Amino acid sequence: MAHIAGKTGMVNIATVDEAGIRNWTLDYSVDMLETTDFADGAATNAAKTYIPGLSGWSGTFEGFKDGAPEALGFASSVALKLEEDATYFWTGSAYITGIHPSVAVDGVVTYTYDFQGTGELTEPTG
Amino acid sequence: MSIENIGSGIKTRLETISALKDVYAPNELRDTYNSFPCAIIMPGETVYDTTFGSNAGYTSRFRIIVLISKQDTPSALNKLMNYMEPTGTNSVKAAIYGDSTLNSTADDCELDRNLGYGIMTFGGITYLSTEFGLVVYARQS
Repeated sequence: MAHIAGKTGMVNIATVDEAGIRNWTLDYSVDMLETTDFADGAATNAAKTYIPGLSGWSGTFEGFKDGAPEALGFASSVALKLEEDATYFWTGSAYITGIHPSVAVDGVVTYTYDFQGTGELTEPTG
Repeated sequence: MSIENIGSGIKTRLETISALKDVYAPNELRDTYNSFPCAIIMPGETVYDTTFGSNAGYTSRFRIIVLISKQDTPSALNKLMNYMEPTGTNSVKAAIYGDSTLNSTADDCELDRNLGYGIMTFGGITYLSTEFGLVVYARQS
């Protein structure tokens, strides 16, 4: 597996590339349910034990303002595609849950978006 | 949006300052200059791929240098001040911000600094000068 330069990344919403975006971050995790019982406590090393529960995913993407901002996801989720490059990407349905404009006197206007995934996340194949 | 076109766009803005006898874009620079005051535009650092995509953004820094003949030094230095002012008919800042897309060659720009009085040498000739820093935000296509 070769390294991939981030410059070929992209955020794609409902099959449309999001203009001006310069980074994205995905948090994909599974809840771990503790199953430690008295027997574990009595064991030599008294180790906690867990089993996997539900998975979930959320994240952010951020970039320069380039046209009207994305709408918050009050009404519906969107098809979200987070591209590492044209070959490797993550896809799923997500709600846009936050928009954070940032304006500085010595910089470019930026928007940061939060999203909450709903349902299954499809992982890259390589 | 090419760096060369942006240079020409900066020239278009500076040509709105009627006191400048000549303005030279990056593709017009020469070894010596004969009419003063004049302005020369030089490309500086460029940062590529500031955004994702085939139409990725980039940021280019340009140097705008106003040159005056070294003769009659006190008067010449005083004239330079008018170009350094944030407003006024000879203000470089006001000329640039008259159209911050630089004649539609860029998304936006920011004239963020002037480096004060200085001297520059071209072709063995020394000129009085003042230099401005311009940051330009553009996309590669």
